[in-house]
Amino acid sequence: MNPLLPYCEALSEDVNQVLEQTAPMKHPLIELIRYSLEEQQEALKKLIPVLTADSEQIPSDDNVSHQQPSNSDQHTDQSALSLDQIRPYLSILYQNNEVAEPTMRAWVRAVHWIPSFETEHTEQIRNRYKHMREQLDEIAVNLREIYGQAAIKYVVPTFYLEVSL
Amino acid sequence: MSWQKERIDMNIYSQGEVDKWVYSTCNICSIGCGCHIAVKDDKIVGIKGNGQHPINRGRLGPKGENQWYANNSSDRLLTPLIRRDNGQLEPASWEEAMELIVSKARESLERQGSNSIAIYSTGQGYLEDYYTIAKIGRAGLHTHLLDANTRLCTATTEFCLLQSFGADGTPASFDDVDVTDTLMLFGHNVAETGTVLHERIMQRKQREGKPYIIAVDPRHTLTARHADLHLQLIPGTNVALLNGLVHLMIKNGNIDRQFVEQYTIGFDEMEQSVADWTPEKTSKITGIPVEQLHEAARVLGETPSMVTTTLQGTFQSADATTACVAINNMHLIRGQIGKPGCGPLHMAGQPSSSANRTAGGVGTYPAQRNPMNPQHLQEMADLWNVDEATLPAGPEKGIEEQLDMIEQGKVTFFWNIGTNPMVSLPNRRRARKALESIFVVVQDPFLTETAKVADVILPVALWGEKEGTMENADRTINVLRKAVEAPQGVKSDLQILIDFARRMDLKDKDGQPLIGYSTPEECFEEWKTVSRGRPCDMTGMTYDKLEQHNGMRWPANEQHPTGTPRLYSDYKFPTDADYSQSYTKDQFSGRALSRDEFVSKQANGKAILHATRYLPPTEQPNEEYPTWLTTGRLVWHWHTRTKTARSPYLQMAAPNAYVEIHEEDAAALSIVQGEVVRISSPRGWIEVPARIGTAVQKGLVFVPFHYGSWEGHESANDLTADFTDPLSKQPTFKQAACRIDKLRKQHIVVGEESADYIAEQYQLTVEHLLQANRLVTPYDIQSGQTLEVPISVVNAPIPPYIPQRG
Repeated sequence: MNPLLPYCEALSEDVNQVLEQTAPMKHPLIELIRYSLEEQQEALKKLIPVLTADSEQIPSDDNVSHQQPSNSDQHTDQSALSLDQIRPYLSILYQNNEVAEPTMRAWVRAVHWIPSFETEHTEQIRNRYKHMREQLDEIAVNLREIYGQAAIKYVVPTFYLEVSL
Repeated sequence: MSWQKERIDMNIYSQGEVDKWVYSTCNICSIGCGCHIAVKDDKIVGIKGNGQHPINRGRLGPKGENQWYANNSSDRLLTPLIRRDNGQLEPASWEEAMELIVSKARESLERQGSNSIAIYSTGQGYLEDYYTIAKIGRAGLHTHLLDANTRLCTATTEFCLLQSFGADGTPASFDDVDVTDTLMLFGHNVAETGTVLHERIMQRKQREGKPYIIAVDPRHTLTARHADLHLQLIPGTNVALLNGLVHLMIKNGNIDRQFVEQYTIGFDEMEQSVADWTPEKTSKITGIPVEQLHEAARVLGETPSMVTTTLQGTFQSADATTACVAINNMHLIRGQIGKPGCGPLHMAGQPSSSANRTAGGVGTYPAQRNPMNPQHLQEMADLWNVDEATLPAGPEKGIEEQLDMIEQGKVTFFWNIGTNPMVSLPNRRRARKALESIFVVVQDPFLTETAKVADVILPVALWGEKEGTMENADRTINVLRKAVEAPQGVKSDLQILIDFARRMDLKDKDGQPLIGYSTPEECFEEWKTVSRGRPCDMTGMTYDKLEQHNGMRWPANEQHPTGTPRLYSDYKFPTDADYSQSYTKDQFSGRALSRDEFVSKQANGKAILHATRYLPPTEQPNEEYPTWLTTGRLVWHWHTRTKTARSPYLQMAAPNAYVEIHEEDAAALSIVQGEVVRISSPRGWIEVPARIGTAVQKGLVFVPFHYGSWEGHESANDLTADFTDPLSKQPTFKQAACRIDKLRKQHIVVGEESADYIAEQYQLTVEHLLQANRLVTPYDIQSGQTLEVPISVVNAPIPPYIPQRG
C-alpha cells in the first residue's frame, strides 16, 4: 500500500465531517473555512484514487502493515509515483490547512465571544482540525522518506518539517 | 512639485547658537520629510525641516517637530535589565544579558527546532537593521517566523501589490498626487496621519482648485471635511462600495478596453464578480445614497487622471487586501497607472515599514524574492554563501499566527525589536498571556508596557544616535546621519544584532562569520548587491548620493541613476513566474497558489485583475454589544506614545484617551459631554470620557489606540478583536462590537435641595445634571426624586491642528 493512503483517507473523513457539520452555519469565518475544505475535498477526491492505484502496483509485502505506513527508506518499495504526479493535490491540502487552521481558531474565539453563535459542534470541529494536522504531519514525514527533504521542500511548508541543524 | 516655496519649520530649545545641524529624515510617519537635527554640547536640542527636500520643502508635522524630546528623556534605559528569580527586572551587564539571550536561543533551537524562534521587529528601524534580521533569522537561525508590527500597519499594501502586479512597490508617488485631477483618499485620514502630505495636497487645491477629492471614511474626519465628496460608508463595507463603483464604471462604459486587452488578464472573472452589485444593493449594504454612488462612479469613470491612496481604514478593515485589489482593478480597467497623475498609492503607516518589506525582515525574502521559488532561495543562498537546503520556504506567518503557535507550545523564544505589542496588538490580554509563557527579549529605549512580559530588556539608540536608511511610503530611500553618540550604556539595534550573530557563532559555508559587516554603510553596500536586478534595485544609491539628491526612489541603478518616480510606465508588470515576488494567493481564502497554478494564469508580464468577493466583518453589532467600535490615530500622537508622550507639548495636547460618540446616540443614552463611560466588548472594557459630536456616524464609536498603560483602563486594544485579513493577515482593528454603559450614582433629592446645590456636590454643572436626567429646567427637580449623577465628568478637549500655516 502507498504509505500516504491511510492518512489521506483519514484526512478525507475529517474534511467531509467538518463540511457536513458546518453546512447549516452562517458566519464569515465559516465561509472561509468551508471554501478551503471544499478545495481540499476536491483534491482528495483526485489524490486518493491515484494513491489507491499506486498501492495496487506496489509489490505485496507481508511485513508491511497496511494500517500504518512503512518506515522503509526504499522509495520503490513504497510508491511508484513521481512527486510531480501528486504535487498539485498535496500543495492544495497543505496550503489550505495553513490558512484554515488559524481561521478555525479565530472562529472558536468568535463563537465564545458571541454566545448566539455557540454550536454543539465547536469542540468536535476543533478536534477534527487537530486530527487533520496530525495526518498532514504524518504525510509530511512519509513524503520526506519517499522523496527526500530537498524534493518536498516547496510542497510541504516548513512548519510541518523542521530543518535539521 | 506642488510646493511653491519652502518654509522651514523649526523647533529648538537651546541657550545660544547650536553647534551643528546634521542631515536626517523624520522618524515618525511614512511621508519621509527631510530634516536637520540641531546639536549643542553633544546633545540633540532641536530639529528643522530641510528646505531642499522635495517631499516637504522644510515643513514638518507636529509630531516630527517634537520627536527629539524623547532622546533627552530622563527615563531612558541605560543598562540591560534581566528578570530575576524574584520576578523583578533588575540591571545587568551587556555581557550577562547577551549571554543569557544566546543560551536561551540555543536551548530553543536544540529542544524545538528552528521555528521555535520568532523575531518581531518594527517599522521604525532602519533598512540595515531589517536586512540583518532577515540574514540572521533565515540564514543563521533558519526560522521562518520573521514578522514585525508592520503586519499591523502595512502588510496589506504588500499583499495587494503582489496580487495585482506581482511585486511590492507602490506604483504612483507623491509626484503623481501633485498633478492628478482626482484624488481618492480611501480609508486614509491624511490630515491627521500625514500632515505634511495633506498640506501639500491642500496648497495645490487652494491654488488650482485641483484635485477633486473623494474621501471614503465611516467618520467625518478632518480629511473628509476638506473633501469634495465624502462617502461615509458603514464600517466593514469597503469591498461592497468598490464593487458597486466598478459595476457602475463598467456599465457606464468607462473602460479602457485596449489597455485591458493588452496589459491585463482576468477581466471576465472580475467583471462577473461585480455583476450583481447594483447601486441599490451597494447602497443597502454601504449606507451610501444611490445618488452619491452615481456621482462617485461618474467622477472616477470620467476623470482623465486619478490617484487612489489607502491607509489603515482600508488595511485594518474586513476584506483589507480584497479592497486594495479592487482599487488596483479600478485603475487597471481605466488604464490609469504608469502615467503622470495616475496610479494606486497604497501608503504605509510608519517611517520605514516599507523598508522592512523590501529588505525581507518581514514577509518575503530580501529584495522581493519569492519564498516559494527555489531559484530565488538559491540566489539568496549564493549571495549569503549558505546551503539552500537550510533556508526555510513557503508563505510567511503573521503575528497572530505566531501567537497561536506560542499557545500551542511551538514557539518558545520571542525577540521583540523596537515595538510595543502590549499596546498595539488587538485583544492584547490574550497576547500578554501568550508572551508571558515564553522567553521574551525586548529591545527598546524605554520601559514600555511590553516590559511586563520581558525576560531581558536591551536599551537601544534612538533616531539621531545612529546612522542608516529608511524607505517611505512612495519608495523613497532617505539617509539619516548620526547626530550624537548614544547615551553611555546604550547600543544600536544593528550593533546588538551583529553581537548576537557573533556570540551565536553564525557562519557561512566557508566558516566565515555570517555577518561580515560592522557598520550601517557596509551593510547597505552588501544589501545593494542583494537588490541587484530585482524590482527594488538600489545599486545606483550610496549614502552620499542619497544625501545629495535628498532621497531617491527605487529602482535606482544604471538605467535609472536618479531613481524612478513612477512604476510601470512601460506597462510591463513583474508577473513572470521566474521573477515575481509571489505566485499570488487565492483572492478569497488567502491560500498560497503553487507555481503551476500561477503559471497557468499566463500573466507573463501583464497585471492581474481579480474577482473581489465581499465578506462581511467577522464581528458585527449584536444584541449584547449593539454598537460598532472603530479605533485609530490622533494628529498629536504616534503609535503607543513611546516617543510622543515624552514631548510636553504633544502630551499636553492629548493626554488621555476618550470615546467619540455621535450626538444622537449620546442623547438617547443621556450621556453628557465629558462624562466617563464604560465601553465593553467581549474582550474587556475601558472607562474613558465621552467626546460627543458628529465626527462618527450613529451607531459607531471611535477610540484612539495610543493609550495603553496597564493601570489606566483606557486601552482600545482591550476591546478589539484579533481577527485578521485572510491574505495580508493584518488584524481588523477597525471593526468590532461594543456596548456603552453609563457609570452613575444615585442621589435622592431631599427637602429644598436646588439643582445648583446638587450639581455643586458632585462637581457638575447644572446643565450636565439636567441633561443626565433628561430634565429641561432646574424646576423639574422635585423633593424625593431619584437623580442619576455621572461619577466623573472630564474636560477632554483635543486642540485642532492647523496644517495650512501659510
